[in-house]
Amino acid sequence: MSVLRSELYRTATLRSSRLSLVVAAAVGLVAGWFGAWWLLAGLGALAVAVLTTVRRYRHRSAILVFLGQPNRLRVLGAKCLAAALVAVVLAVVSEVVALLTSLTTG
Amino acid sequence: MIHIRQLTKTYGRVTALDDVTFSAVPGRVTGFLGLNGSGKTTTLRILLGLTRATSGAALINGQPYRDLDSPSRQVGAVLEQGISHPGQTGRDHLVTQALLSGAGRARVEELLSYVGLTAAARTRTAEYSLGMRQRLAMATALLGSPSVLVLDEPGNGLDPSGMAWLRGLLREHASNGGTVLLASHLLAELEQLVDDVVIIADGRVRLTAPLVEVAGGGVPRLRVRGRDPHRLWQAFERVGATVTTDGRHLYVSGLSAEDAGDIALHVRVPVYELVPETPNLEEVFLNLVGGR
Repeated sequence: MSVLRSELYRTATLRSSRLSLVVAAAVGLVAGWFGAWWLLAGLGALAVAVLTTVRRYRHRSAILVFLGQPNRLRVLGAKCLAAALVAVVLAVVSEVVALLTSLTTG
Repeated sequence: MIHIRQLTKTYGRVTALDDVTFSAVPGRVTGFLGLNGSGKTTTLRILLGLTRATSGAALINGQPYRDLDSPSRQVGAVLEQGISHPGQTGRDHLVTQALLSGAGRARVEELLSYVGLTAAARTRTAEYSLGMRQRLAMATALLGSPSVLVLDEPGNGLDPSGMAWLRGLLREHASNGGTVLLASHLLAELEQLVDDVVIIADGRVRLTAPLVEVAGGGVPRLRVRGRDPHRLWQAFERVGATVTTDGRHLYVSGLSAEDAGDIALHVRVPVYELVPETPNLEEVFLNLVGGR
């Protein structure tokens, strides 16, 4: 749980992560216009998850996670769960926007 | 308490560590000295569960790091300076790590103040100087109030006041019963800081001893400068002393300063310098590792 909270906090406090999420949501919105929001929202969430994990290694901060939680399976599980939660939030936001768009366009 | 027992690490045919054994005890600062590539960081990475040993054991408080209950509350580590996402502020970095280690927000603010980063807490770490990143790394290590500190080159990038701050911090930690293992190749700085010394070269431990024995326990010698070095040399050797020279001074072992002065008077050679010397840590280190 501590790794999960830490990962979510980190994702929320990184400007690049927030920007990626906004872009993904925008892509979802555009896709929603064409009725395929769920596919692109999912891909966007996947891209955000990949980016945040890659950055952990690029900036070597993965070491700090492993020092806090030496069990790498738990770290992997927490990262997957954090990515899934971000994906759900992103999908819900995209769906709401897509629904509103479809309602306003009749 | 840290115990390293017969630790060996090989990468293919390369032996990075060969039967490394030493301890770091509570209440003392242990300096782990070696040249770059001597095996210091590999030892620390194994100790912290980041790399697996080929054989042997590395124990903290009697257990391997991976088996420790809440490791961040028992061990604080600085492995590389500047481990943080450059886009995150110093405070956000510490909160991220605090969530991981179970420390509270109050501890984050306390440590920001302790390491002198309160004013820069809202600045992204990409804009931090090397010294500021090192202070942030120390704050990260201290988050869980650990009893054991494992530090790899923590003085890199610190200015003189930063070094004084680090010395005070580590001395205070040790005097409160904490264990400090400090790896470095900055010998002059370590000499003012450590209680015990472990010297490693080419993956093998060459020396483990208290600093007082290492720096003061070598053979004392005299540094002598006189008008006629050749006659002085012969006179000293006649009474059984060992004499070497660097071209400017004679270095004499096996004589007291009084005896050397009397001999110089006896052979009527004026002496301009007569200084007793004991080897410092750097000289001992270079002798052990072959002065590479």
